[in-house]
Parts: sequence; structure tokens; C-alpha cells
Amino acid sequence: MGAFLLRIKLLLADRVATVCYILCVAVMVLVFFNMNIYASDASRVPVGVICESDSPSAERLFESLKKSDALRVSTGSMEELEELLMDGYIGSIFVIGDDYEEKLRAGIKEDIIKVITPTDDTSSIIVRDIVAGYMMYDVCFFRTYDEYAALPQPNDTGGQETQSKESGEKETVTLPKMSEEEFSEYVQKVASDPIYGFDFDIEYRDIKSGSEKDVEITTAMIYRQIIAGLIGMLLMVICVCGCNGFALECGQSILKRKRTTGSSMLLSYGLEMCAVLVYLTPAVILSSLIMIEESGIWGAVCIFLMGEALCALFIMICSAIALFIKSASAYQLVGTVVCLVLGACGFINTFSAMTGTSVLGWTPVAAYINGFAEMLI
Amino acid sequence: MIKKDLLLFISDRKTILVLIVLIVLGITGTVISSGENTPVRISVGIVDHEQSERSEMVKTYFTENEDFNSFIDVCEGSSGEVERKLESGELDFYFVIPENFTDDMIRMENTPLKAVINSEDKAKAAVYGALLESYSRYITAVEVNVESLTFAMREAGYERSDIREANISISWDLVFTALGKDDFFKRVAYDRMASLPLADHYIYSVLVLLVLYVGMLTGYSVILERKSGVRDRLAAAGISVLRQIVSKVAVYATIMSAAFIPMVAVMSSVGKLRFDFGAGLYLTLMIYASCIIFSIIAHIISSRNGYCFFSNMAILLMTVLGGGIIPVMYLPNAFSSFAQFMPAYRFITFILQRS
Repeated sequence: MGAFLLRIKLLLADRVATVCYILCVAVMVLVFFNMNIYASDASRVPVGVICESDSPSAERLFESLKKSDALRVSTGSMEELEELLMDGYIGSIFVIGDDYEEKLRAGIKEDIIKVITPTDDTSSIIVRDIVAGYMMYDVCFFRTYDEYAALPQPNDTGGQETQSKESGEKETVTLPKMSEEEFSEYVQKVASDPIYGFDFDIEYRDIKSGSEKDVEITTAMIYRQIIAGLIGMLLMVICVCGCNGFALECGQSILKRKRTTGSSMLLSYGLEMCAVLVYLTPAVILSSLIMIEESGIWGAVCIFLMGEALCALFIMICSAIALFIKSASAYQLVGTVVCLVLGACGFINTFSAMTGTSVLGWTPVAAYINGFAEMLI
Repeated sequence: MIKKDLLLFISDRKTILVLIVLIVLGITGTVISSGENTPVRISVGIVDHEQSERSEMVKTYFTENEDFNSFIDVCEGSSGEVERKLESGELDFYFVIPENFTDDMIRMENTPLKAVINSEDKAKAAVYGALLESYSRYITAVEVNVESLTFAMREAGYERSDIREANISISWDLVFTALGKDDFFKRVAYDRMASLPLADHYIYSVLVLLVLYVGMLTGYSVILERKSGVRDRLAAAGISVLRQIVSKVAVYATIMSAAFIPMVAVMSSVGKLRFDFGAGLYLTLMIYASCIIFSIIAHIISSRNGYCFFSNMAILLMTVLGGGIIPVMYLPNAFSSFAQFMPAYRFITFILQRS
């Protein structure tokens, strides 16, 4: 136990490790808690929208896009939005032209809205599908009204049978056709009826476990996976700092001197690694509490255990690096590079829907992100 | 001074070894990512219990539509077949069209269309969920307008046969308008900027990471000289600290820039990196800037351990904030506002804008 207690004391006295620890914990508290709260908002797809028309349907579309759950809309002049596109803050610009309503009225179904994207872009297909959803109501309305307006007058074709109040006899009456405004109001009245509204009956199924998920998986999940990856990286950084003492001791030949005492090196080293894990435990507990609202208590416990497993694995990796390299500065360099490489592997795996790379799922951060996301649903 | 620093660099085997390892890592990453950079396709299954002329027409539209086929594979089969394909991971999701689905829709009985999504990959499942939500908006728009026309005609006193005829006509018109939604958009390619596949994004990030580590190693050699008293002795001989930094940066940055040429050449030939003289010059300037900044830091921080800790943390932070790990577009607002001051962001934006 002496080695365990000694390592704890050394870690608490290590200024570099303490500064790193405090910084990482501060980031978790100040940034990640905040990021999780706004996950739904921030996970929306960033696009730019310009509305050049002041027609009611164009304004209605513009407002709908701004209120969309799936899109994060930036507005402004073309120059401002082009700058955002050039700087990589938005992926595409949608321009609702001043002839938007005219085209809808004329029944034109092609090139109604201009989409500006970087060359070779393929990712805007999904965003276009989402925007089309908001256009569909007006597109359908004008086509329907055209059909309605082209109908012959009802008195040419027949009429509606009603009972006359005065004579009590049945008679056929016809109503005059509605104007566009009246028809629009009529359609809106029909649309407000809750029986109209189609929804898919979506079932999420994990083919590995075969379990069905009751919770809807939204785009906020992608964002929470990013947060999970950043937490994983942060825990690894604290591990690198926590194991810095091993590298220093190897560099100063303290390990060699320990060997001469005849004590079991394996046991001693194991106890010291356990001490580093215990030292990291408060940070791991904090990391498991960041999304407790989404994961629940049992989920938070599982996330804590996964965090401990990630730290234990990385402590072993760091110890091996320290033993092999035997220089504190080189150890820090290699440790940071390993953190970045493993973090990048985790994120590449998370974005596999876009990259097609799923072979990195076995890497520690990728496994941690997957496990974390599993606990959230 | 330059001769001294040149000899120092050549004799510093550790620095050269670390650089070689980092360069090999960068090239290996490029090779791996170039192999994995295959276009992503979505596999969708359809179980058609309706088997009507109308459902057949809609399916034919999907299987023959070029835009749709460019990124989606449609596969039709029985419940068992489609279920098996989903379980084996061949399908991303599937729909079940229930019996009398179209007739029920015309009668305003909203029989829900069942969709089963493979949630093994949470990010993919979230995107598919959002897409289906927008598709349900299409169907609602069609439904509301068709029904409004029917009601309006009924109230106006039209004959039943006329109402039915108009209903069928507008239904098909609107359904095919909704299916042809891709034509709503006129795509204009912004020729001042290219898009960047995620794999290439990471390769550029690795390059910037290497640039930062080159600077850190230069600073490390400064701190070693400082610790061994060389700096003070040179200062006593009348060589100012500024001259020492200039000499160190000139040697290290020039040699490192030269070392980057074969590396970038290999990365460009193996991967799909866009490199030209301007990009090379920008990278060289970044190497010089990185060497200067880290040399200055090495003159400020007195402890070797402290310098290594500070530099590593700074590099980690700069990489994350600059969109090196997560593209800036998806970074939280609090982070993305710092991005424009970070080297990874500046370099990637420069490359994209030149492309």
C-alpha cells in the first residue's frame, strides 16, 4: 500500500498535473455542461438564407426555415453569407428570389430557389430535402388552386341539394367559386384540423443487441457524441499529466533504484497505476454527471464505469510509453500525439455516416463515444 | 551562428527521430484515409404489402430517378428478406407499405407508414430520422390540399364524378410534384471555394499539427541551450538574444520546410491533396511563424517540463479550437468564434479558397 499512498501524495504535490487537472475540470463544468444544454439548438445544420421577395409565400417560407428544428439559419446580405460560406461556418446558401411566388403561381416546378454550394459539394442533398419540406405546402397550394380555378362553374355541372326554409322543398343551389384568398383561408382551416398530418411510425433498432429503442434519435445525438468524444480526450489528457511522474522517475533512474530494493516491481507498478486511477476518479465522476438528465442514474453509473475503463487503459498505455521512452519531455510529446490520434479516430468513426469509415470503431475513444451514446437512449 | 545551429540540428538524433516518426504517421494516415474515402451510399428496403399499380408507380419512380440513385440503393423484398438484410447490416432502414395504404390515404385514414431504422450508428439514425420527418411534411402538404379541393368542390355543389376525377388528377399531380422536389432547386457551384471531404480535412489537420510540433521542437532546442548556459555565454560574447533566435529559426525552419517537400509530394500523390506553389509558400510561412513563436515562448518559460507541458496543451487546444478534430461548422458557437485565430482553421480555409 506504501507505493499507492506515495503515488497519491506525489500526484497531489505535482504542480503541472494539478494545473492540468483543474483546467480540464473547469472546461468540463463551464463548457461541456453548457454545450449539452444547447445540444438540440447547436446540432442543427448551418445554412444561409436570403429572402429577396416580399410576397407572403416567400416570407412564410423564410420564417419557417428560421424556425426549423433541423436547420440553423444565418441571414444577411449575399456578401456576408458568402464570407460565412468561405470561412466554413455554413455549408450552403439558399436564395428565395423576388420571383418566387410568381413561379409558384405559374406552376413552374423547376429552379424555384437558388442554392449556392462549394464546388464538388454532395452533402447539400439532404439539406435540400429538408428545405423542400417547407416549400411543399405553398407549391401544392398553387397547383391545387390552379386546378380549382380551371374547373367549370358548378351550375354547369349540377349543384348541391338543400332544403328550402320557406317551402320546405328540396332544391339545388350552387355556390360561387372562391377567390385565391378565400381558397387559401379554406386550405388553412383544413390544415389546422388535427386529423390531417402524416407521421411515420419510426422504430429504432440496434442490430447488434436486437433491442428496440423507444426514444427518438435526433440530430442532438450527433452533437452529444461530439461532447462525449471531447470528454474522452480530456480524460486522456489528464491521464497523460497524471502519468508524467512515471516518465520523470524513469528519466532520473529512480525505477532502477527501486529494483535494487528487491520488492515486487509488478505489484508496486500496479498499485501506482491504481493510485493514478483513483486520482482521476473525481474528474470521471464529473464527466458522468454532465448528461445525467438524458442518461438517468443507471446510465450515469455506466458512463462512469466506461470512463474508468478508458482511464485505466490509457494509464497503462502512458506507463508503457514512459517506461519505453524514459524522457519526460519526449513522453509528453508522444502522449499528446497519441491523445490527438485516438481522439481523431473516435470522431472519424462518429462521422462514419459521411466518411464510410467504420473500421475505427474498436479504438478506445470510438468505443467510449458509442457506449456513451448507448446510455443516452 | 548559423553553422553552429546547423551542426546542432544534425547531431540532435532525438529531434530527427521524433520528426521522422511524425512524418511517417502523417503519410500512413494519408494512405489509410485515401483507401477509405469511398462514397457513402444509403441502402433502403421496401416491403410492399399493397402491391397495387399506384405503389408500383411510386417505387419505379424511386428506382429510376437519377438524383435519388446517386446516393441511395433501393431494395424490395418480403418482410423476412428485408428483415434479414437489416439484421446483417446490409440495409440502413426499411419501410413497410401496409395493405390498402393509398386507398386509406384517399379516404383520409392515416395508416402510418412503418419505418425501421438501424440505430447501431447513432449519427446515421439521427440523419435518417430528420429526413423522414421532412418526408412526412411532403405527404401532409399533398393530403391537405387534395382534401381541401374535394371539400370545396363538394360545398360548391359539383357532381360526385367530377369531384372524384379532380381528386385523382390533383393527387397524382401533387404526388409527382413532391417526388420531383430536386428540381425545385437551381444549384450554383460557388467557384471561389471547393468542398472538402472529411478524410482530407484530417490530413490537412495532421499537416498543421506537424508544423506546430516543428515549432515546439525548435523551442525545445532553445530551452536546452538556455539550461546548459550556452545562451548566457553567447550573450557575453556580444551575440544578442534576438540574433540567437533568428539564427535558430533560420536553420530549423529552413531544414523543416525542405523536409516537408517530399512529404507533401508523397501525400499529394497517394491521397487527393490539392497542393500548389501558393499552398507550399503558405505552409513554409506557417513553419517559420511557428518556430519564431515557440522560440520566444522557450525564452519566457524557464522550466523544461513547464515548456513541454505548456506547448503540448497549447497545440492540443489550437487543434481542437481550429476545427482540426471537429470541423468548425459543427463546433459549438463558443468555440467556433476562436477558430479564425487558429492555424489549422486558417490553413484549411486557405486551401479551400484556393481550390
